[in-house]
Amino acid sequence: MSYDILIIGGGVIGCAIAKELSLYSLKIALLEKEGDVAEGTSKANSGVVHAGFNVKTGSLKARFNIEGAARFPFLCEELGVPYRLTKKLVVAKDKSELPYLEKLLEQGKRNGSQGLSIIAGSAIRAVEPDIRGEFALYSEKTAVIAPAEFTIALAELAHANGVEFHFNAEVRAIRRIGQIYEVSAGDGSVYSAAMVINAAGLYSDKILSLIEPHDRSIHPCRGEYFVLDRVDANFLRTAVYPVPPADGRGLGIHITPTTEGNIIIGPSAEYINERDDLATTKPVMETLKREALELMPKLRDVAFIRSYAGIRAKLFVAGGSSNFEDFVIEESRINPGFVSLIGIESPGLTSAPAIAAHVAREFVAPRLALVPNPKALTTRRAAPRIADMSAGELSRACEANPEFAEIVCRCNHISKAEVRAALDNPLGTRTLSAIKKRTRAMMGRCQSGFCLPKILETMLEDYGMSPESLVFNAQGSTVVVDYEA
Amino acid sequence: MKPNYDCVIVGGGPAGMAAAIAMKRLGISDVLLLDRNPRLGGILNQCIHPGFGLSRYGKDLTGPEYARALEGEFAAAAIDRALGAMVLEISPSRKLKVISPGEGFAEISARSVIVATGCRERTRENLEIAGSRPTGVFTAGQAQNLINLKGYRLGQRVIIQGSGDIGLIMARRLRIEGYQVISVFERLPYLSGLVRNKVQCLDHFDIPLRFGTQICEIVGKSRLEGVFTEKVDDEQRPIAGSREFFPCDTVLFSVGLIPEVDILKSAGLYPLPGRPIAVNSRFETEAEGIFLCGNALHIHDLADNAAKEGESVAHHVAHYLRSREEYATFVTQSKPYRPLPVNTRFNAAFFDALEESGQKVCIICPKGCVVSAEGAPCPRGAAYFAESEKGRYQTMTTTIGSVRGGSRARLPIKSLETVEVGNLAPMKKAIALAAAERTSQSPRGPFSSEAQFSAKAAGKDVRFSICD
Repeated sequence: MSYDILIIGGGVIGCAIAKELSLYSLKIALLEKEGDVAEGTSKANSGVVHAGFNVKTGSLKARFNIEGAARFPFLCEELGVPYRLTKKLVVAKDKSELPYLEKLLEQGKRNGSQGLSIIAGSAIRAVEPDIRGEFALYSEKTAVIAPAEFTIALAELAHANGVEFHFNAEVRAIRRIGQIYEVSAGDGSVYSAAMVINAAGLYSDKILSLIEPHDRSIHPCRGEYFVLDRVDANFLRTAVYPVPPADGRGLGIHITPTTEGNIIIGPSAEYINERDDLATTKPVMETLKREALELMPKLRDVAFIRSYAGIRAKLFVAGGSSNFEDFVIEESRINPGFVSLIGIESPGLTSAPAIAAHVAREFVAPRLALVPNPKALTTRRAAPRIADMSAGELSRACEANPEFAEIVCRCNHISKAEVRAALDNPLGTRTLSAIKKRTRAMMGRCQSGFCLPKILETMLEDYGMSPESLVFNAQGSTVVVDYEA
Repeated sequence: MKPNYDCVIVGGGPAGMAAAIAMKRLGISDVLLLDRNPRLGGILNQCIHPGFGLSRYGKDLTGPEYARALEGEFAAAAIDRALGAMVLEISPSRKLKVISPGEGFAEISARSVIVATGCRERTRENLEIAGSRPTGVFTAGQAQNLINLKGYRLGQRVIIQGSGDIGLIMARRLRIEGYQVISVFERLPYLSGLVRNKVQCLDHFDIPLRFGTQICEIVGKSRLEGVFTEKVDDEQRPIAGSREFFPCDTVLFSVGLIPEVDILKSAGLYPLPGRPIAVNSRFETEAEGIFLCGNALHIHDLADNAAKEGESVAHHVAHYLRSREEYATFVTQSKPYRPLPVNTRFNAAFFDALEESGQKVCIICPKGCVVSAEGAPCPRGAAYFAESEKGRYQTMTTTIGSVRGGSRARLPIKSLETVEVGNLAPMKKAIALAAAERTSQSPRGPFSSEAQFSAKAAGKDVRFSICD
């Protein structure tokens, strides 16, 4: 199979690039080793659209953060996904931490971050009555999105514009024959293209190693989270952060309201050995709870319904400084047309739209003619959700399709029609994880206790899937071994 | 469904159905019962084991039989009902938003509401157990649903955490279905469920129960590969150096139930984690005219008791509807419902002592008297001991394939005589084979023409009846 461009990796970066390039008349395929997009870091992060004050002035991180954040409100509108302008407080416990806030404010101003001020005492309480702390940096431009949904939306728009998505297609070998790259993937296919864009996240160093030696390595840095039950919209409106730890691993354990009305606590930051070790650990869980309750004692009133972990792709460069590395986005010197994006960690989600535009402009345009595709769509509509409908909309939806009135997930109010839409998703992926990310079923208080039987029945009986093919995400993650007729 | 009712009951399990039946008896018939499932009965439908209905019907029924009995009473009372109906919202002024595939979206005003929405299970996540998140990790009731209502096979080698009744019942279910049950762990130093269930569901099958032990880490990247356990002291503090690994592909958590009252948030009532919703002496919540009963209020040990509570709430609601002034004079202050006292008597030392002395615990009634060849506190106890010395026999319950509403369903069955425990799994296989040989497409399944049928295992013929 022959293409103009192969994108390796279906995370937010790969999908943003796919969407950006899908606006042009190019033949593109995206290869993903998992069974769906947004299966790695892109589904397990804080979902924060950063305002750009945490990043070193003059870095690519600062530039793409500021550019990306500015695009988000419009982009989410175009993609039909939620964007919640939560704003953000970085809270100093006492006066001793005030200089950090001042440093952040200065850095933010230098970076071009808007809407920043330092507030104190009652002004903090006016923003968030139940937050402890004497001083805070208040950022009025910080927002949250649903990162997996956002990634899926990018992928679906790219797909609508002709980008092919190949799942369970782990890249095993790459070779260059003249001007053409041949990529062998785990799905048994060989893909060839004039350009390869390596957006493999945690594995981006390994992908680059398939074609040339280099001195960069990704060190996985795990972040654990807690998810709290949905709360009243006024319980917590603002993302609340502590002063970041000095080791540069992360932004500290923060409390973030999600687009769905839950609260998440986290992430921790811990270097681990394996890139796919998503286990949560007791000591970290205890730390998360303790630190979050210090910031907001009222969190005791909310049930903790889930924990999970995500992994940051921390870049180390031989001989480089240990705690700051910028994004690496560059074309190989010895393999022209092979572009790698390495170390795209926070603020990677915020930067994704700007990074995608940068890749198109700086690396693709000089090699392939960027002829706008006149038929390309620029907007996508999300599948309807009964939880978001007014009484009138709900009434009409149920009349048109009685499956909107058939509840599958009682915790988050998700109907059979929504589960069906997720199973019929345009990317053609049918896993439990795909349904979970698209509908929010299995994410509520019961953690799939009640909805899983209904979803399994739909997949096995309405869709005729076999027990072996019905997996959560990875191959082998079966739920039902067999069933009796 | 009409736009107005004197009373809307949310939930058609034992509490909700019993409340509806009682309302009718009290002369209040402008009542609507809503349930989100396509059938009445709630969780009873998946509880195919016996042990239900002793106080309401004076008989030992399986869950589905108990549900059908209540359903029969309910049908005779000719009360409005809507099935497959999900209540999305109950406003503080008792306006309900409801959707159902049959009637679409509807808004209903109620003079009173009884919330009988049951409970949900505490999950591995609620216990904050460390480790990865592979498939193969279920709650016990979820597994019960998948096995009993859908006929799915979930794995082969199983660990169960928690000695609650559902966990114990599921240990036996799994053995009948041919799974290997490696062990049951209980974090507490004493039994959580009924002694009867420990004896019949674990001891009869030689399934070990380890007290003071909890799963502390889940292992597996795609499907579960095993669990680490640790011992805890009597204050539930982990004991250093007690970690042990158990390979398994399936784990069930039976670690407690949580009242499911999320719907009350729309009425302005927010439960705090681990604490029940406050009700007054008439089971009325702090939202006027909204009453709460059954497992949605507190967790009952027996379905009969949830039904009884539904009946008493019906009385209070009837009173409330007749004269609010008079009703008010009987009301005392709101307070959280105080849970039943915990019985710590059935602990490791108790069971160890029995084992050493050759005595037994009687399971005829919940008292749990110690009985032996030397005697028992009552004749029934003495008879139990004599009977139990003859071997391990019990009623067998399982399911057979069927069709309901055009789709696959399972039909619960029970044996009409007791079966030797060693014959249960072979008997289940024999029934499945016999069922597969019949090709009936009737809605009552392969044995549809008979209310009873026979199956043979280990040379013995056993009669079964269909419980649905």
